[in-house]
Amino acid sequence: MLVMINIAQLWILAATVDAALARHYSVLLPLVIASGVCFLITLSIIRWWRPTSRRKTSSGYIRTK
Amino acid sequence: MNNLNETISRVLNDENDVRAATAPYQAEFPYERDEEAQVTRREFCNFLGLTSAALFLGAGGFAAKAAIDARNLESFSPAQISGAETLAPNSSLNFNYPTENDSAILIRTADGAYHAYGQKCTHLSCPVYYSRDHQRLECPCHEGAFNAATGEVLYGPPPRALDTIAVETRDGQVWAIGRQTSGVEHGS
Repeated sequence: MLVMINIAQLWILAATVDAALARHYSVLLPLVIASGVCFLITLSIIRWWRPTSRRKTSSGYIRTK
Repeated sequence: MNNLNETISRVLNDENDVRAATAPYQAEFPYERDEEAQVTRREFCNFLGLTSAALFLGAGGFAAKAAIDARNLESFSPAQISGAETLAPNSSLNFNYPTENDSAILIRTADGAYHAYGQKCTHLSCPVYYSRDHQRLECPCHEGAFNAATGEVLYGPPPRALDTIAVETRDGQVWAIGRQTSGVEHGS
């Protein structure tokens, strides 16, 4: 999932460069916002996502079954 | 118990086989095999997070720079293009305008008229050059071409015409007096 988001952000960066060189200033802000949303999703996954099939112990996550 | 010993033996043999097979590569690319597994999933995720932040900052920075550049393009002062008066028809001359960092190209077409353009290709900023054989401006990077008299895109990936630099002749000298950015879409 994180890799997919990174690839999407890479595409957004390429689109931003292309739009800036073509003087399409109206699409720059939406592209930057989209990249920011991708970053926030990445951050939330890293910060809060935990595997549901495992439980936390003092030494890490272990399988519940 | 026999199964356990057999499994241990098989794993160790496999390990020895792998080490033997990779020995030549180890000599050329020395790395500690035991350290291969030291990048944890969490570290990998953190790396992806940093990459995401870098891509976000890159997009934001590029957009901000483009917006700032667009505002700074408004003011120009006339500048003489030295050597332009002796330029032969169907040839070109490089100069800088409006600042020393902005490369531009002056073209004298076969009919003797002067035309000047920003030298950055509107596709990915490669410098364009004047092709005397084809009498057009060409970009060597991705095979784009522009009309020498108007700066319009003839073919290729450039999305818009070249930036136009207005020129005029004063007492036999050629002067650049302004620069206009084209926002016209190619093919639209």
